[in-house]
Amino acid sequence: MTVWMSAFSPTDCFRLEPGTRLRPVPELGHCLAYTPARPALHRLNPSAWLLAELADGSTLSAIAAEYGQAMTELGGDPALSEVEAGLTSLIELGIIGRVDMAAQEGG
Amino acid sequence: MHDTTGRGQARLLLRQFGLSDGAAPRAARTTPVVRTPGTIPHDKATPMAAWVDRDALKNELGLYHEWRFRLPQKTGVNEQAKTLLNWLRAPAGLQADLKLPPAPGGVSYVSPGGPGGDFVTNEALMAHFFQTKATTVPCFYLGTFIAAFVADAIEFRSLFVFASGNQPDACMDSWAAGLASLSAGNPYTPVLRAFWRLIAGAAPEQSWLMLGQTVTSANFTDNVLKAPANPIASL
Repeated sequence: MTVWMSAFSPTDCFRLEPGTRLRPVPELGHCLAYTPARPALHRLNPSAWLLAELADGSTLSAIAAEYGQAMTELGGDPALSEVEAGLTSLIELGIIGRVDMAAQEGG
Repeated sequence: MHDTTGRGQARLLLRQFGLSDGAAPRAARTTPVVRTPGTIPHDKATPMAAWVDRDALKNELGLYHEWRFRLPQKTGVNEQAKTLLNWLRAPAGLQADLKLPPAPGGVSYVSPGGPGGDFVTNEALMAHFFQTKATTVPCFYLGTFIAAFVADAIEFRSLFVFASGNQPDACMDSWAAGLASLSAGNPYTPVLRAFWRLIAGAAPEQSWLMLGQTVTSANFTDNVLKAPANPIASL
């Protein structure tokens, strides 16, 4: 049995990295993301695109809830681990980042 | 009402593709374009190699040629290039009206959910043309949206169009000959001509150069070639 060790707290918030541009290419079934800080294009499948769109400062809980709703509509069985893995991937590519709440509250 | 937010579009696409392609989020680096971090240099003398990852383009596209349209404005947004970008993304027509033949490989060029129904963007229509009329379309298509992306990223001060061909002349000729061979009633003719007119509008004739040969033989720094013919002028 695989045990998923979460790297996030349910109250962690996520948002697009500054300057990140999302360019939907619906006819090809994906969305492109351009990350100017680390200049590169990234190809996001629809569910990764949805996660990137949901990262508007929302908490992990809120993102997982809306993502889960979208997947359930399609008959899928979304797991929190899937959301976390997706977010981790987007963070590693520099598309989204975790909001530093301490800095925000301190500022 | 149709949800036109990015979130709504993503959910729409998700519904369209369903779970057939795997529901798990997947994001991967694709053709890297801009190498220089931060702002793109606007200096006319800046060699293209300084900010385009040619190795990646070679891997992705194989042979290609590229046109660099240097825009006269050094500050602010170039409205003509912005117009071009908006045009690329605008609907060319409804799928029901265009009645496009299916593209090879099962690729759909249709964007779902427009005001009047599923539609095809100008960019997608051009891509469809090349997909069905030539073998170099993925290259062109990729190049087109790379152009849009780069233009977007640098506030429309410069833009790129990529096309492919074995030789620069052949590449140019294929554009001009291809357009000349289309009848006035051909549904692709207006979109292709409009594209070049917008390019011409965004970049004055005297400022456009063709850089190229094949990737393997190109010297992007020293071998800046004057285009042998300007296909725009003949339109």
